[in-house]
Amino acid sequence: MPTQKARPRYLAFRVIAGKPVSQLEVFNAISNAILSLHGEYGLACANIHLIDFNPGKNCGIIKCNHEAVNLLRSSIVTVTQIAGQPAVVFATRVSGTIKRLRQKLLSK
Amino acid sequence: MRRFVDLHLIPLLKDLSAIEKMVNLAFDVGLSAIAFTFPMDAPLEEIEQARLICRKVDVNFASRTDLSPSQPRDLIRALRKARKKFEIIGVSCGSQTVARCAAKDSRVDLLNFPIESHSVFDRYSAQFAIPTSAAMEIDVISMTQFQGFERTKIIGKLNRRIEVAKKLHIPIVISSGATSWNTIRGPMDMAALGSFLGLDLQSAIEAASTIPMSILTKNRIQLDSSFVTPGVRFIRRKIFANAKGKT
Repeated sequence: MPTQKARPRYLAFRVIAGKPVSQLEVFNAISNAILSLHGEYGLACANIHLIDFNPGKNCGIIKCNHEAVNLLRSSIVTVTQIAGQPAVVFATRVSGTIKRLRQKLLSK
Repeated sequence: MRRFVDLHLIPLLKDLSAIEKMVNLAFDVGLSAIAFTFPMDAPLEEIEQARLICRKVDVNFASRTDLSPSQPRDLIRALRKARKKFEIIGVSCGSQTVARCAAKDSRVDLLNFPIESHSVFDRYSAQFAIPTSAAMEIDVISMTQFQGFERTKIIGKLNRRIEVAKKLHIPIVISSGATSWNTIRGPMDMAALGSFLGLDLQSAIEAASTIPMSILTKNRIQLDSSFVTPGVRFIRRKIFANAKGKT
């Protein structure tokens, strides 16, 4: 049955930084990277939400529009620092449901 | 399973802890093979040391050197020295004459066009520099180290180069060009950036996996002692005795 509902994608990512970083700092860094590379329209289309971030493990889950996965991935490449500290962000997994993504991450 | 390769890491070779950190991060982001860039006169011990660090982390190691000659003559001379020592040879093509010479030489693996050079790889000049066996390399670091207007110029240039390479069927390799741990990037993320620059996603993924891996495999076969010529190699040596029993 056809549906108008947006299909989300959940992207698990890891942050490696010089010092511990907070959820807000990570979200700001990622959204600024999208804004810088793809502009306001790109950021609006991506519709990103930071679902979860574990500062202890430095990993988190971000939700985005299913058509914006590559946009998000290409933007996180350009993140070079978070809160003034050198940092690397990289995607580890992508899934269509958050439950399946958590299962994949736990089984890893 | 797809194996991802990054053929362009440029660590500070004296700093072993920095190398170790880079190798660990390369493993974490999902790279199964990496190539470290060494100067042409690097001692073999230095290369072996880096190989040992990679072996500990279970990452496939390759040695690479970058040549940046000003004249074709210098390139040929440098290639003669470097080909048997390094598994990967990249040439930074600063001028059209060097680009043409490097493209014709089968000993060159990767052609790197500096971002600041204007007309070395445009629509016209690229027709004379179609490589016989080499691939064009794109370094992601050129995009991450700038922001704003500078980056828009780089994106424009890379976009045009990819368009030309696609038209002339030149294979493309995406590398990070990382100089420290914080410039290493995930291979799938680099492929996504490649797709944003004009490659289709499948070709971008191949540019970070299959194409660099095939270059590495081909060169390893050629550097092997049993290699004679393409398609011919020693399988075993057997000494035949003649009728009188002499060998």
